[in-house]
Amino acid sequence: MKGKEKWTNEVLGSLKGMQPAAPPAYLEARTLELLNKSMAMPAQLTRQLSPLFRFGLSAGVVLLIGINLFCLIGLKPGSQAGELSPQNIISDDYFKPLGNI
Amino acid sequence: MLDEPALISSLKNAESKGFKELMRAYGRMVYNTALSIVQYPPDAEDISQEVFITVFKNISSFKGESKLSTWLYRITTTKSLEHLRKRRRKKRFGFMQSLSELFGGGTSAFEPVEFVHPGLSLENKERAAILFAAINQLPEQQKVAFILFETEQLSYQDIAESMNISVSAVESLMFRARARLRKLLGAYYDSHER
Repeated sequence: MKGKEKWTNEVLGSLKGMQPAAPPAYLEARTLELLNKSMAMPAQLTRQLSPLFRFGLSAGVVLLIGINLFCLIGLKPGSQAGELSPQNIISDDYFKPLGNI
Repeated sequence: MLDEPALISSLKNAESKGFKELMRAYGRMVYNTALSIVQYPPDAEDISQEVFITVFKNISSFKGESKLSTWLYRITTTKSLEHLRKRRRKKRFGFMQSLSELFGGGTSAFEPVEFVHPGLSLENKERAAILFAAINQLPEQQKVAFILFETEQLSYQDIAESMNISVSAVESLMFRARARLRKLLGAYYDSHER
């Protein structure tokens, strides 16, 4: 029993006097390189994103014009060209309550 | 003697000179803390890198209310624990991975080898390896407190600040860590019939 306790205490005290390990010499250079890359990242990202941004902007403008045109003409989805009539402009359901009066 | 306010202001101005100074002053400390927690040198290197990059990116949010070393210890222990959690998740899916390797090839799941700290004296190497294996069995908080106290030789006050807990909480963690280690080592002793 005493042997076990003695051994446990020895193991628990085995880290006393431990010297700090030196990090590998290349670590500093590697970290600096990584840091430079991460610092350059925002600029790179902007360059990479700008064509995407331009595409998004144009698509957004086209979509806006499309929605505006659709609202102006007021064509019901599914209507055939040349069938532009009040029934096609406003939904049929809209007139139903009026019919009961 | 390190001029901490000057170093912090240099880092805030994004000067590479400041960054180099930071790594020279704290590189060993960060690497050793990470190494004691993850017990695998290549992982400790990756964690050290992550820590310094995190410091550099977040230095503007450092208010200087604590010592720079306290902040670094906090980042290092957090990153190391995150790393261990990731490793555990990988291990959990190890079976699935080995199945996929069997059918599709690929690299094998990571399995850390028995850890021997390079800073140990020859006569302590064997015992310390057993102790490190036992430390690995501790819950996260107990493990961090024990390592900061035993390997980094921090005071309870410094550990409390690094872990953002009270000194009495550190005392309790240390007490429970020692009790658990005694139990684990006792069981090891019995099974090996020393």
